Amino acid sequence: MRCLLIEDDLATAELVRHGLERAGHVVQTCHEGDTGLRLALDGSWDVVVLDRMLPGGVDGLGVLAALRGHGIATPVIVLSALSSLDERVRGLRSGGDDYLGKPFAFDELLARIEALARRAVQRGEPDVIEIGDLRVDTRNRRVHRGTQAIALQPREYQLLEYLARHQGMVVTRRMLLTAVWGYHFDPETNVIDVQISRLRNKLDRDFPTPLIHTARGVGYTLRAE
Amino acid sequence: MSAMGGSLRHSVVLRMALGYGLLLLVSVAVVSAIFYIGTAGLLARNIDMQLELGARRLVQLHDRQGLPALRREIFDLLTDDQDVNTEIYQLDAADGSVLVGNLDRWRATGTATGELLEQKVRRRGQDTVGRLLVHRFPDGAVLVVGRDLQDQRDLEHRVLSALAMGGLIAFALAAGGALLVWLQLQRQLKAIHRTTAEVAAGRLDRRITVGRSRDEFAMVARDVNRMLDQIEQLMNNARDVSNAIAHDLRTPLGRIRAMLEDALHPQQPPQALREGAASAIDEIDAVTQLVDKLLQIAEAEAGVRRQNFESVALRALVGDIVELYQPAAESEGMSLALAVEDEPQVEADRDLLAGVLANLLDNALKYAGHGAAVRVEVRTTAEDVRIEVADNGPGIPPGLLGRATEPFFRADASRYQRGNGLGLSIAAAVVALHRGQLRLEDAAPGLRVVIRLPRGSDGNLSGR
Repeated sequence: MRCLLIEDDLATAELVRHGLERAGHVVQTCHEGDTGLRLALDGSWDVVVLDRMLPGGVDGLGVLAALRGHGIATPVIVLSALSSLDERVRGLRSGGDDYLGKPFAFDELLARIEALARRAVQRGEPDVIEIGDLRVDTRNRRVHRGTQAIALQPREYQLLEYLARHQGMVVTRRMLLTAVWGYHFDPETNVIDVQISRLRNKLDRDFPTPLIHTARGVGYTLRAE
Repeated sequence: MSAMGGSLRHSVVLRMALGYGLLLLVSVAVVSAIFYIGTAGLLARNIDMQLELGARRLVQLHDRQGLPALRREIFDLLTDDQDVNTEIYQLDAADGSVLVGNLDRWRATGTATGELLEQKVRRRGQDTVGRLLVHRFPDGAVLVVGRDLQDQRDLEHRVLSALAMGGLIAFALAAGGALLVWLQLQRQLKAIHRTTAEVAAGRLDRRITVGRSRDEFAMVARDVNRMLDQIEQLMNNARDVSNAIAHDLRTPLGRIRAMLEDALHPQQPPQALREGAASAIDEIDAVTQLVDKLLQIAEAEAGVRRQNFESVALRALVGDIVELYQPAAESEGMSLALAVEDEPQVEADRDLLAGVLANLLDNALKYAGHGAAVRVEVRTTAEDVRIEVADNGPGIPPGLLGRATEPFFRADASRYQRGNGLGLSIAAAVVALHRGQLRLEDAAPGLRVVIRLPRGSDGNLSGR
């Protein structure tokens, strides 16, 4: 995946670049708004990681607006130390696809970048998703492992479908809360973990190979070993 | 003298005092004028009337009985010993010779008949001022009926000097009164000014001394004192909050520093390094969360998010959050029940309101204890919509219920327990942002949190 990283803080830029390269992606970094905008307009990128506050003529939201103004729909994730809810809303309204407050866990950034890129590539979602012996039929919301049907509550099904559509990727708790329940807030108790463990009970307990894996401190992945 | 006495020209107190003094003087002048016109003026008009009556009688006598009869009558009038000191009668023949009269000298030139005039005359050997009514008969004879005005003039002088004396005294009183009022107001205002200046200079404990007085100044002084009490209280709160923030930031920073120092030691095994890094990340997350929450409170209190308000159906929202927390409650051995009446709608920011509810359930899960029963109720009353979250756990001591929404409040006052005591502050600030109220009640046993929100426009009910 080709990532453009526009971030003025050199240390942060280096850490993110290393992390993304370690995960097998190609990264180009730049540190100013105007050069960032030029690069974003020039090349074909799978995802742009954009800092909110930038030196040079254009700041993050300016880059975003110019990019969308040129009709370029490359997925953009906005990074910002202004992490209040209102700033998040502004970032998303200006055309950002996702918003992450600083400081962030790198794995959370990686999970969101991969989710964004995937969303952009797979516009036509398949009706039936298969992972190992798991089969999720999204037309009639039926779930099978092998030949055995698995009965799920509506929310459990939604959790599973989201995980299945992001198979092989780490999905964070906040992403799940937003995608499945439709709310943006940070629960202090482990409500998402308990929900996942219920799903796990129905999905994995009676089978030799678990499909839901915990990414420690970040979230969950659905994958066949 | 400081700012208050600095410029007399700008002193409203002085202007008021002077104004009232002037008003008093003007009133005295008006009263005097009325009095003068009512006395001296009335006397003058009476004299004129009497002169006209007398003259008419004499003219009629002349018309009926002729000049000799008139002359006799005047002679009788002058010798009847009545009004000797004031009466003036004079009858001159057509050639100017005096037929009868008591005027030694007067000037008849140019006077038309029936005219009233005032002139210097000489009467019975004395110069005086007379009020004269002159009548010219067709045959050229001239009749003068008049009155000596000397005593009238004397009376007018006495009245005027009495009024002047009165005016002088009134002026002195007005000036003295104005000065007294000025000094008195000045003294009271200065007391307030001195205290506010001291407070402005940083002495927040200073108050205006108010006696038992109940006048307007005492009222203002009490208001100012009440305001100062509030400000002092707020400042104390702000100091407590800064101390708490400092504590809650420095403690994790100190731990992180210690962990990093440990990591610098050469003989650290890799396992310990990894564990140290993981704990450091946890501490940093805690600091980040604290800053986020403080920002959320500030944001809610600034009211910037009202622009995202929309009509929210509480049945769906509360249902979602209760459903989200249900498994977590069950895994703690708690029961979580929900009861919603009607279809209440409120104008709200969906995410913020969900966050408040989540926070209350977080608290219940954290503090109500294993096996507790948590109950969420949504009701519509005549005035508002109420969301109640009640548990039957240990609750908060009744004396502390009112303080539980203060930032950094913790029921056990120890800072070592989990959580930073900001959750309820955020909840209260968010509810206030929605023009509602969050109150904590003793559910005996347990804690009940009552949120009242103004009713949204829900079609069949005329809310808002």
